[in-house]
Amino acid sequence: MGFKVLGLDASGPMMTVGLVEDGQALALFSARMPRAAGSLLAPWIGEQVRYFGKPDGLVVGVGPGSFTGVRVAIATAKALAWAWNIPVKGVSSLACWAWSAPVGSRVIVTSERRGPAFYLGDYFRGKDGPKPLSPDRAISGALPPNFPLSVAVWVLGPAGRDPAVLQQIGPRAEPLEADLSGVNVALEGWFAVQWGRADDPLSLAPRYLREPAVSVRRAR
Amino acid sequence: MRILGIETSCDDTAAAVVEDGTRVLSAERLSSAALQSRFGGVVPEVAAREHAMTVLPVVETALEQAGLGLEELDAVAVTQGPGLLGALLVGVSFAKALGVARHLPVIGVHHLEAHLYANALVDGLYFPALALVVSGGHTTLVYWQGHGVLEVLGETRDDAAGEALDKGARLLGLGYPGGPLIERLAREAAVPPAVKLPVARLEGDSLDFSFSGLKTATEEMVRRGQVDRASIAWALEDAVVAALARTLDRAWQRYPTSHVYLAGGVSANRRLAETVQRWAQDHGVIPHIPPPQWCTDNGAMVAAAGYFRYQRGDQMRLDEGPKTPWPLATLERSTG
Repeated sequence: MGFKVLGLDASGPMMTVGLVEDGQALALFSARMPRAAGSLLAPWIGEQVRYFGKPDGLVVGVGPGSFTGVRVAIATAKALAWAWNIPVKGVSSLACWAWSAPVGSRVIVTSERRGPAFYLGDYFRGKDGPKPLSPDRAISGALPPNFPLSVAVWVLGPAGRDPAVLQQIGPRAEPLEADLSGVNVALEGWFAVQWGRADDPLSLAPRYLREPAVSVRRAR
Repeated sequence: MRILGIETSCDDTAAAVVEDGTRVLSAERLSSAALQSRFGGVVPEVAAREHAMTVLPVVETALEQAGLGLEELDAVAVTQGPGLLGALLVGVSFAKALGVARHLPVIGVHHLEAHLYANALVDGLYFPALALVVSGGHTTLVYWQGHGVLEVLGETRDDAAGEALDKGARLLGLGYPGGPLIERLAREAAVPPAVKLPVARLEGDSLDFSFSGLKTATEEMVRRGQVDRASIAWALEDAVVAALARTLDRAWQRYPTSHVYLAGGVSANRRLAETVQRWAQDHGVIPHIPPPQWCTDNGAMVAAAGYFRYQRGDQMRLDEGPKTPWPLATLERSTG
């Protein structure tokens, strides 16, 4: 019996739950159904558990991304980790997505674009996984001062589909079409959950990177 | 049967363990009201962020207080709606994950029905009855004929009673939530002060409520600056209580039940409780008003409502999410 790790993420357009055993994918449920995390994650997890049994560890994408999606994934992960008494690790959702890039390449991961606002991660895809070249950040218009990049770079997410933003990223920026996968979420955190570097479920927190827009509304 | 109840529909994260729908083994609650008071009301995103961090410690504490392990629970009940969507999603996702992990049935509960079941924690429930649910988000009058058999007789057409108090509190420079602060300030007024605020009179024999005009009238009184703040608070509280009591009486003339239930956060208002108790005494009716800790949002009422729903075979599917809006009238059709 190997060490099974369940990975889940709901930070972007792709809802995903994957199961990995000793680095090998066992199961993957994904759907491009943004805002449906509340109804998709639990049955998918239930299905995987019914077939493969309780996992030995959990990895959850903590964002940045959809505030609500991230919270659904984290609330789910906290309850599972506590109820099963297994380790849990929160990982960058952008890093998980960066696993899709070819090994040895640089990749800019973008998500949750709303007008000029989106999230940006800058990674080098090594053979053991992506390494951040700078912290994930929230963009509101202008890119950071180190842009445009002169090196060849893949661009994942909505910025890859916008020629104007691609140009700002760099003259050698190329779009890459790939989805965030629960298997890659599990891979991003498996080392931590297997080797005692897990998070305390109580303090496991979303990585919002933006303050809430404050507008008071009727409670119900 | 031991049920864990989880409530995250607004700004309180609450959990409780209740046995057989009536005996509270533990109850824990954390409120983001102090944080929300900086904004003068509930900011949905702020509430949801707080729930995400507090739901696990609150549930954990509730179980510790009950002296129980997860394996000793028989079911999880959770507020499924109505409420703030982002806030509800935290509680519902957490509850469903507990259900998956421990193979427990999960029961989705209507928030207003849960408020009614706060009365089951105090005394037995007697049917048929009239019930008035008054809170920051709701003002609803119900003919309660039995478990799951509810008929909505009247609702607010605009602001809820508690919302009228919250808005009044904001106009008077008080904090949030406004109800208790208005009540406290009103006690400083000369009684009765020589000011009145209007109580909306709806057409015909309507059992609905309307509080939006009260806000405008309060605003005008504050703007003129001729009346002291305590007297305005008194007049506002008086108008809200009068509107509630008058409509309750009107409903009772048509549905002369022996029992009347109050529920919801505004039920903790002393003047409302005293007014209803006096009215009940005059009419030979038995009033039921939960103690303040069961009037505000809490997990015990959710567990209690969940117990009675579970007895009728209700269970939430794993692919179900929060329901909001979720009119109480549709609940009555689905179960009555």
